[in-house]
Amino acid sequence: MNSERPYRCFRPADLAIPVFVLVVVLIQGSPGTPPVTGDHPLLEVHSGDSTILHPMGTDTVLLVPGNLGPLQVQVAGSRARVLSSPCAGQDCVRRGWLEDAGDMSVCVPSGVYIVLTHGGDPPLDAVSY
Amino acid sequence: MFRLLPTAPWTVYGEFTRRTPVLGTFATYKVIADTGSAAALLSSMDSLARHLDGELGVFGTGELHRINTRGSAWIPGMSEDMRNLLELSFEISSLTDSLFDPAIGRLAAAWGFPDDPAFPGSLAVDSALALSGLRHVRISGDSLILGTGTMLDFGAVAKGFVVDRIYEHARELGASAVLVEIGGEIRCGGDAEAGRTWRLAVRDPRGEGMMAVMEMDSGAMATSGDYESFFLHRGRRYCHILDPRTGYPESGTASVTVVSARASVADALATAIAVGGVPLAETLPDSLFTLIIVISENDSGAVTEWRRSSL
Repeated sequence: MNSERPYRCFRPADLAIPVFVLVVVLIQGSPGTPPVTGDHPLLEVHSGDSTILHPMGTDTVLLVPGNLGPLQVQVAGSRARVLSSPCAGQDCVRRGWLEDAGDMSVCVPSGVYIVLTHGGDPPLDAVSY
Repeated sequence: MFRLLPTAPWTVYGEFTRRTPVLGTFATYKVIADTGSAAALLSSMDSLARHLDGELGVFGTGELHRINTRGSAWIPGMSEDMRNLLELSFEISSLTDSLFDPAIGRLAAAWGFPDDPAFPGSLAVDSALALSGLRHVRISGDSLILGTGTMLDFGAVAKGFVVDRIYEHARELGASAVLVEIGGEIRCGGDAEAGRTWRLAVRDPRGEGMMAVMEMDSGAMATSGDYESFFLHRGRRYCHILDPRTGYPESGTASVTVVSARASVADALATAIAVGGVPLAETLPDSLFTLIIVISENDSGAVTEWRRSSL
């Protein structure tokens, strides 16, 4: 007699993955929760002719497209760094953590740079002339 | 094309900026949107801007060009955009004692604006003036009826109109917050949850810096100034803003900034006030604007600032 338990399509432990994902979504913000950009420090991610502003209070890993392929930019503990890059020199990765306003990491071959900004007056969004 | 690819499902919103040439100037789009759709959203905004540029812009080959090069007075099949633009023009014209008037294409051509401005002589101005004015324009259903020789030029309102259209288009496509700026005409806004306050400035018409900085949750701002396009003739400065009453460029107003709910209204009002000055600005109903700033300059170069708020 075969004592092996029959194969089950769904096991209680399977719940762990979606529950984990759900918890992370709730903690980090749902699709209906745009970033907070008030007085919090921001990470500016520049790639090509576009810029994204990411609030530093949200820990995450961003995948940023570059000329050579995507770079990973990590935000954690109000710091940011280039975690990985497809470039040959890896200077951007060696730059390490950016912690203070104005700190910058540049990947020239990728056409990507990141910079921390906060303090003082925020930049102008537009000028009427 | 910048597309931020999320590595996890919670990295979904970001702020994206694009700057691109359109309407003979530059446009800036800022959106807070889902990172997965932001690139498509920005491209759609850009496509709409280029379409409207072609249809309504003075350099386009679309509807405005067909109207101005028509073979008859009766022009059927007017687009919804053209109709909306004309209806807005009639409305602003009636509120500004006809000092805003887009039916001055003949005058603009006589003065050579915007490409090759030069003093045309009084005979040419008088001839163009006789063919100008909204009194030569009628709307009948989806048809436009123009007097012989009358030409339209939406240079005083087109940028604001396009800014509004692109802003509303982006919001309809799901952007949480949007700022559109074309040639200094601005519209911004967004969901309250987005928490985005827009920081806008007004350029000093006679200096290097800014004369005002303000923060807005939503609204529009437009500026008309005599410094953007002008030429000198016999020691006198002639700017691109034409007085539809006389056919000659306005003088004495260095710049007008209007804050309003819609960029098209702000744009048209700024032009009308540049012609009519403070006396016109004093008579406008509060419902049309939030703030008006008029910078005037007299013949000796003395500059004065006048402000009116409806708040």
